[in-house]
Amino acid sequence: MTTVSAYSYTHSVAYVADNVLKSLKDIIRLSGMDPTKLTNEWESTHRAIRTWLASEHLEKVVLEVYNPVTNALVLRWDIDIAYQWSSSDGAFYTDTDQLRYHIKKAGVAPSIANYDILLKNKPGRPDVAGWGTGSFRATDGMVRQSMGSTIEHSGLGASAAYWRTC
Amino acid sequence: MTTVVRRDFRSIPHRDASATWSAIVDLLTAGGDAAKRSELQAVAGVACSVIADQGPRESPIVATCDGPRTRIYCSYDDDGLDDSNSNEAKLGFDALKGDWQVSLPVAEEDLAWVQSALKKHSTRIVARDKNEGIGVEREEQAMASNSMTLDVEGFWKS
Repeated sequence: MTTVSAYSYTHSVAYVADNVLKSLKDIIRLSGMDPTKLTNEWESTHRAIRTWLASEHLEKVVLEVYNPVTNALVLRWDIDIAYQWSSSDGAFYTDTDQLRYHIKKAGVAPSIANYDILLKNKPGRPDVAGWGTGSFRATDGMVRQSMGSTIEHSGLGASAAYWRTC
Repeated sequence: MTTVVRRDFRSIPHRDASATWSAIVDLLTAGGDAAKRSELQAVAGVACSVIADQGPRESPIVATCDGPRTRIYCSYDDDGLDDSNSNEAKLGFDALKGDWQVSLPVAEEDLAWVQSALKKHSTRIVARDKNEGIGVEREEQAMASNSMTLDVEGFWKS
């Protein structure tokens, strides 16, 4: 007997949202930082990502690693969202190995470094409790390195990139 | 002799990690004891990370207490969408009776920060290397010649 799963956009949202957070956890830990701040805010961050993936407003999830003394950006990771959902392609895809390779290339964060997670949306997003407007730290003097697709289900996907000083 | 009960929960993408942990907390507390429920909910973020990492896919979340032991596995991806793989039925006993502990299966590389994060909220909710059994189970395996483990539900299913 062959079992055929029926995929919905809700399944893709759940898969991508949780794997974006899992990828952030891996980046934070492998960069030498403590993921506890991420897990303390897991429910709120997940709710925001899920809501804005569902409404297709979420453009990117950004991890800013910064010097808490100067507030200057040390390293930045972007997870860009791609909306090409189709119910016909149901493969679950998360490329952990590619991510690990590039985390090593990006280098370990300084021991005093802290991090923030920011979400960039298209205009008109629905409100999510606990989330308001903000701004990114300057990326002056940094270069962006793209990695390609790292998470995908049914065309709802995410591509990672990182910024580092030249 | 230890009585062991197994449950299989459908996780991502059927449920997200947060909803999976909530369902597991509901099972273990049976909607009862508010203090135990609060203690389990206090570690939700860490538990969600463990579930998103697919820790309980091959190695269970284990609840031990003065009564039967409960092993909870999670299914993911296509397996998570197939309800024939699940058994989320309520338990016929108090899974956190008396001196209880809940052990989360974690990848070795995540163990240090997960243990540290859990300790801030609870001494009863702990993490172990997912490739190793919990301490009590290791001791019991060593004593296997003198005792046996009975998987009651597994027996009746076989």
